[in-house]
Amino acid sequence: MTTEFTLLALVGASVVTGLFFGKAAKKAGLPSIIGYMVLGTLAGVSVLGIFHHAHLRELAFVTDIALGFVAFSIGSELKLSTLRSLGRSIGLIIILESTGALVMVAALVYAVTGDIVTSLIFGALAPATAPAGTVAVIREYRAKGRLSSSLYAVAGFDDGVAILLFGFTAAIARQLLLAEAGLASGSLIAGLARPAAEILFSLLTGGALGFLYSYLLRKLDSSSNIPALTFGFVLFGAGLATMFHLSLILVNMGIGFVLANTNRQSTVTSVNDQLRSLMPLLFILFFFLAGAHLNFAALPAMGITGMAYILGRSAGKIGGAWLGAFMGKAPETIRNNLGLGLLSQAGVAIGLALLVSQEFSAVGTEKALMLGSSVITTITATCIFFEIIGPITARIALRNAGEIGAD
Amino acid sequence: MTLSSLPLMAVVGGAVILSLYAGRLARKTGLPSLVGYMILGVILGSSVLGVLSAEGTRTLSFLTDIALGFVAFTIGSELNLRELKKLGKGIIYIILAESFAAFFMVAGAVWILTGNLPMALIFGALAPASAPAGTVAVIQEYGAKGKLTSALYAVVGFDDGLAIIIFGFASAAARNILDPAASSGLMHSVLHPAGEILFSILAGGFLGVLLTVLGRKLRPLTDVPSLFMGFVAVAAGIAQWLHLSLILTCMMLGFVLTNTTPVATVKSMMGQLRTWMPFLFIPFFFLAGAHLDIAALPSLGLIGVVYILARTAGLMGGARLGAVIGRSDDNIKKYLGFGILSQAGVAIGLSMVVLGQFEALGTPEASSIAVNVITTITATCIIFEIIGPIGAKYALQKAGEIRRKT
Repeated sequence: MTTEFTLLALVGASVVTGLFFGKAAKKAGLPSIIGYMVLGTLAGVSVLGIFHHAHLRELAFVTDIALGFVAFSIGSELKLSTLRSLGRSIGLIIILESTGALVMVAALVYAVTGDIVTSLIFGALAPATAPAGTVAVIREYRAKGRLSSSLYAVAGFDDGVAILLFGFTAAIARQLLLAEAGLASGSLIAGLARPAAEILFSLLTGGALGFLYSYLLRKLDSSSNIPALTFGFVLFGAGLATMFHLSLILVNMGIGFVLANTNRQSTVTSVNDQLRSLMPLLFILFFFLAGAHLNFAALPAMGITGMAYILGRSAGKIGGAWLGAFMGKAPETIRNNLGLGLLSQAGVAIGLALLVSQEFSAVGTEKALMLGSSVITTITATCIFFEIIGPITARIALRNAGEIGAD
Repeated sequence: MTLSSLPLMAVVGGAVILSLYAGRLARKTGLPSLVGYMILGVILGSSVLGVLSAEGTRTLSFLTDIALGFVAFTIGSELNLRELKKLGKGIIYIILAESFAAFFMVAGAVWILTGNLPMALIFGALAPASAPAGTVAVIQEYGAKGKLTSALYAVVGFDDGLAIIIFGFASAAARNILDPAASSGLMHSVLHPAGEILFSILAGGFLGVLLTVLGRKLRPLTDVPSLFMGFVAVAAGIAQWLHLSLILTCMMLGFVLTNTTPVATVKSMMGQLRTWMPFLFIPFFFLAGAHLDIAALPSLGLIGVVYILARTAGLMGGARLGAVIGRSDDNIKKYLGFGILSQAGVAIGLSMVVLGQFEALGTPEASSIAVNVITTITATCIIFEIIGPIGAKYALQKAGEIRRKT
């Protein structure tokens, strides 16, 4: 019991200190969330160890809630009219930056390892993007404009594409692995059906919750109840997603999306206004915890494969976004900058890496076991890089595009 | 992400949504919304549907601590010394009179009923403790303002300190009677509660100064909720950790802030929090409801009925007496007693302390008293948790201090 209450005090102290680390980061020309992450790193497993793994497990729900709100706010920015004005370039960008990352990583990893299964697995993990960093930066600088809207759309929908690509590629890799070992393999269709079903059910759940939410929102007798209703739905969506193994991001994005597209703009604005005072606290907690999770001892394990992954993923995202924007005839600011806003990668990728290692340990061959554990250590290391660099490049992108207002 | 936490998130989310409608239903029947939240909690909780299991409510206990911390913080921030002076010395008389009257009325009545002096002392010792959350939530829901409202803030805030002192003395005396040999001396039993209060005030005061200094440096107001949330969590965590009074510690936090910062600044800071309050109240009260063990109600028995009647009479009579002596405002004289009837977590917590202390004595008589106390207090808290907010609303309405029609 005592430790639990100490945890309360620790969390409180982290929030207060985090506020000032954020200010310091801002003074240094970095997004505040970098400050929160630095503080988290100092307090977390890598340095001081004040927050250890048991604490972090107990606080995992905070990360889920924060991610739920991030996804909800992404959805609420995606008005169909805005999407239509952004044009079909958005669709092309999403597909090309995702597959670009996959192809580039797979190619580079193949070049350094010469192993097709390894390269496919790392390629499968590359498309996943962590939207929280990008959204936090857009919110902090109150960025507005074509690039900001495009970033919302791409960072949100890209989760769906990433799930599909991962499911597909990982299934092929597993197939090859089994064939190499001379074991019987299941059907490839099953490997595809599951991610497709995951996306479909995520969107259906999010959509249904979104309609219920919008209906109840319109009938609400007092606007002071808006935060509670929103909080309830975000929590409920996140809970359902984890319960049925759906995508938390897509479910909550669905709720926000339906809200934005079935209500008057004034309603959407009032929901967002009410949430404005909530988001800073969630971001502090989320990025503090993200920092506390970072395990710098994993960095040396990155090795040459990790380098290839970082290079390939960055080149694939930036190049793919450029190509998509070029083919879709998007303006130059988007072509040159959008990829920079998509580099964050964090919890989702590590979750997928865990999934890989579980599936591979079920395969049971020596190579599978080795590959499973090397994927986890490598991705943990590369995520450190992408989590820190992502928000910084997102800010650079927004500034280049001139979408950061006078602060 | 442990497996057990997965459904819990959905349960809490669903409960928050349903609470809004339970609250609306309650308002339609003229009751404060929080009665609706609590009834929903009872239905979802382990005594009826069991959707919110006992383990689930334990996992969520940190929510209750933070919410209670915020309630105490809000109370502290309303206690502007200049405003308090306007209320006059009356407020001190009221706090003293209602607390001691509740103690003596309950102790006397239970003694007459059972003839058991230690038991009577314990029940008396538990009577002054009040639960500020119910009263504060009602004040905020109806946007109440005025002399009675200010007096209520002051009374429910400060009477926690007095309740701890009275409890410390009386429970020590009861232990002395039961087992003169085992007592650790009267000095210790005086020093212990006094130390608890002193350290609560010191810790809260120190944190309050820190909050004020840091708050001044903070420019965008959107950061204020994070700062407050952080400090309340620190204060609540430290209080639990060092076994201090959570209410007093967090109250001091707000008290120092409000008395060292310009009124307009405090107003705009607290305004940022307004969005948050319903948010904190809803989980707080449905968790309180989920905790209520309806099965305990039949064990209320004669002692419970006597406790309820004597405590009510003591608090209302005492408040009136204090107001008369201190020449308080008419509205305060007539209605303040109705606003301070809530009793919940603190009283149950104190009866847990009794259980621990008395079982350590090791005599069968002591154990039977302790068990009797804990079941009775659990049952009477159910009653007081429900009539408390209703009484508070009645008081504010009669005094004409309700601003917001709902």
